[in-house]
Amino acid sequence: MIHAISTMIIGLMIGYLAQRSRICFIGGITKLYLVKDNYTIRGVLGLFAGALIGFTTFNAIGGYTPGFPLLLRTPGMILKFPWIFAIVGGFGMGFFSAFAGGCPLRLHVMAGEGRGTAVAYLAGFYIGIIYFLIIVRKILVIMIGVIG
Amino acid sequence: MEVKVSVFITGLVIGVSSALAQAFLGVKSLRGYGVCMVGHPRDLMGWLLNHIFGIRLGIQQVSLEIPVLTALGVLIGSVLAAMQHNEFRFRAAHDSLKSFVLGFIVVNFGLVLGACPLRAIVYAAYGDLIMLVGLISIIAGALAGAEYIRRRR
Repeated sequence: MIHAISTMIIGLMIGYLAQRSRICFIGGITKLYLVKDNYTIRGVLGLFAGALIGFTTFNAIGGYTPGFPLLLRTPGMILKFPWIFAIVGGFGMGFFSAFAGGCPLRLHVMAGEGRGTAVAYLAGFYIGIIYFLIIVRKILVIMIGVIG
Repeated sequence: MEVKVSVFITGLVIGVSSALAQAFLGVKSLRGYGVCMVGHPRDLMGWLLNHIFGIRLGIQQVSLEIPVLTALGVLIGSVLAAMQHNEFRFRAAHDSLKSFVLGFIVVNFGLVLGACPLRAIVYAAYGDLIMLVGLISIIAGALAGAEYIRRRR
């Protein structure tokens, strides 16, 4: 129960701040590359710093942070498929997000501002989830069996 | 449109919140899963379908009984922020089909990786080397996309 309440509150806070700041993790990269605008990329640095500070602190005071920092204890390191899924999934998401005009967080926020383009994106996004859960997931399971 | 909150502070807040959600607020099933804009929507959507149709689509352990609500919170939070600052306006889509297809493709690649760019950064900070490679791939993909857009202009 606590996870539903906490994620709802955190979501509200993130949605509010993200709308005010226009933070975007794909836009930060594409803007830096296309128009040499280094403002939005600071969100990436802030997020990395925040996560690092958070995990280090909560680990020290006894929060649930199993294995932190993982590094050479990364689960699944000796398997091949996690690396392939990370490379293919990451590259595909980055590439198509550049066309969509932002990361999934940014597109949720743009939908919240009433932009039809983002609402259409989210319609595809949530129907895409159903497609993944029913079809792609089964394909991945077969691929894991083959790749190992 | 003036910007009141800096992106650095926003990033910092998201990072600490994500760590806090995992460390003390019960989002325990995966590491670095405190906030994710691909995984949490998947859990919410999967949970809804599982409960409506009595099926068992694969969602995270944490969301089996009651789902994580981050995506819903983000939508409501952004509507509130936009309304409060008179930035909420209905604007028709330029090309609905293209946006629909992009959303469809992005979420499928994202679920193959198991993270949105946000969780990829958080989990890389956790020290997961596979996700670090995933993060580098996201950056490479975004740069390739940007270069493609630039050449097409």
